[in-house]
Amino acid sequence: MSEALTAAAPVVAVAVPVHRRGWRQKVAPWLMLAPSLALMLYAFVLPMLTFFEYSFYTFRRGKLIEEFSLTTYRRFLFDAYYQTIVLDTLWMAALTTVLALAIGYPLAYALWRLERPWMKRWLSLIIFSPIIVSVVVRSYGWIVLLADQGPVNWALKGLGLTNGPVSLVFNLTGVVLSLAHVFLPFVVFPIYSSMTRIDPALREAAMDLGAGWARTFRSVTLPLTLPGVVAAVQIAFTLALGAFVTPAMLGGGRVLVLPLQVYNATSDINWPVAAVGGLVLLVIAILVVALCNRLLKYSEA
Amino acid sequence: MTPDVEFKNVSKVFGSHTAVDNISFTVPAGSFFSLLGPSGCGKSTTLRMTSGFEFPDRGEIFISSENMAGVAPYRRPTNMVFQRWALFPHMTVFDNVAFGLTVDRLPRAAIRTRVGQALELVGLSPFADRKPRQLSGGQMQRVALARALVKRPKVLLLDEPLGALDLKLRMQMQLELKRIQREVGTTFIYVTHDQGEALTMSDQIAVMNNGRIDQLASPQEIYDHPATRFVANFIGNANLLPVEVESAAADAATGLATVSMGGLAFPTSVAQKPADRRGWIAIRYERIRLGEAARAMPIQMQGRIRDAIFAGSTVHYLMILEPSGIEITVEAGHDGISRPLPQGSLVDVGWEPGVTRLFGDV
Repeated sequence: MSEALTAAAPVVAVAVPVHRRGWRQKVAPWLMLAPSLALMLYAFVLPMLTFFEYSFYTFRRGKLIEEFSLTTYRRFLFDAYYQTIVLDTLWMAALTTVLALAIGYPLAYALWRLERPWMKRWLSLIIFSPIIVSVVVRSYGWIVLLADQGPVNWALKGLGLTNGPVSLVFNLTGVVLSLAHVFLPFVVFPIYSSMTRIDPALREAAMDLGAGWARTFRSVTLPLTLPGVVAAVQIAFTLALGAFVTPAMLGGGRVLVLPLQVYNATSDINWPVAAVGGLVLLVIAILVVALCNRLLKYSEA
Repeated sequence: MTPDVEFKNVSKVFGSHTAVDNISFTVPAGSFFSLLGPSGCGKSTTLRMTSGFEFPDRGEIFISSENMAGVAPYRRPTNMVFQRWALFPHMTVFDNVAFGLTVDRLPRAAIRTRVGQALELVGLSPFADRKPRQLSGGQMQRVALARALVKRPKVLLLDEPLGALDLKLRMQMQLELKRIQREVGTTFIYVTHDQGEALTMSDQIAVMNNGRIDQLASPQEIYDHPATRFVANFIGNANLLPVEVESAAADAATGLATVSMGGLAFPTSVAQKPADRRGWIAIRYERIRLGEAARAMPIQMQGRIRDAIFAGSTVHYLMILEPSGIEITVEAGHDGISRPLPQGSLVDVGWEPGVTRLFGDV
């Protein structure tokens, strides 16, 4: 026993400073993480838990009944009214994502192929511009642009494409257009960065083997930029799910999506409906992110 | 033989930098042709102009007597093996090799057979279903080769394809490339900065320097009779020694000129006629004889050994020649028994008149 102790002693003497440095290395990242962790806990996890608790209560005749019940969940799952809201939200998010991709992918490609740095800089700034402008200002801008007597309708009429005005605003069209506009940078930049990661020699190799532009794009560029596309879908779709101001302003009361429903429920102090609405949004977002990650893994394998 | 590739007064300028400066050459069909030079000498640009990734600013390029002006890469009868192989990472080995044939819309059965043959040629048949990242460097190199050869190009272009491999593998691949070239009989144009590679594999070498071709000849001609000081310096190890030109005109009978070093006159073969009395001779380290062997040589002097560097199969001696005081390096074979000559000793130095090359003072 005593022999073992003496034998161990020198090892301990050496080990102490090493151990202490290891301890410091372990603690430093946690210290740096602490503020954000505290914020997450206080501003996200705790409210979510409270929400979760509220989701099991019921709201009857303007009063909150603090008893465990699955009534609100049942309504969200089986009541046609709530089903419509959930499906409309998904539909709006899907349309927005598709439109943002349809505009964003060619834009990313153009940004990638531009040779002059100053043109690249200006194009990046233009892509970024919707974020720089306040959402309220931007929404009023779209309302003016898309109004029945607005420039877009005037142009459509002038080109002889329509007789009467096309309603472009205070409906889903206006909401989707405006959302796709503001999500453009979130779509363009992940795709652009996946393009810059492609070895330029790969496109040359395809051309050298007889592929023209279209074939090179289809067989090389597009498959290799899919990770960027998936990331873009993830961001655009989840952002669209949570969009509030744009559907509120450009929807004209006709586009009832989940965040609006949550807002309305909160104003009525109907906490259970607001809570379940919020949780449904969260679950959809998590599902989309998980599905995209799955796709990403599949496309890389 | 009809030339497969012909460059006529071709120049290429990038901004203010002339990458290729008025070069002309022809590559005979079925030959292994190397473009050799240091980085930035224009060899890669020359290759890229052949493949169609760059277009010349002046001059014309012919492939099989057809003018390539304005012909896009995907319409040329050339295929390229890229420096880092540029395999499509999302495709299997089979799909990589099949790519060029699918683009040409060959029937599926024909594609299978030809890809199978190409993979067999490079010894990769068992790896058809692997992805590039599951392969070693040497294997990726072979896939790149198979992918280019499967299209049966008139000319195969290789842009330093062995540069990213380690030394042993590189030596092995050199022999392999030469074997494949003989087997398929395609014209190879091979770009490299490695003189060893160029010397072992090529039928002809064009040594490039500053966008120009300094010398175009067989490996032996280039090694034994370098045409410029640059070639003498770039290929192998050569001493460049300043000399006084006694008579630059080659002797009618021997073809040799006479120069002197430290008052000692001796004959030398001529690469360039010097304009005045100042000139340089180049002599390879291993062409200089020491001691007993030197005393049998037509040209003899003495030198003091300043340093001996043992390198396994050879010993390098740094010496001061007497009476000129000029420093030279001598590479002597090591027999595995005798000790290197001691430092400070005075030994006989000698060489054949044909092994030195006279250059002007440019």
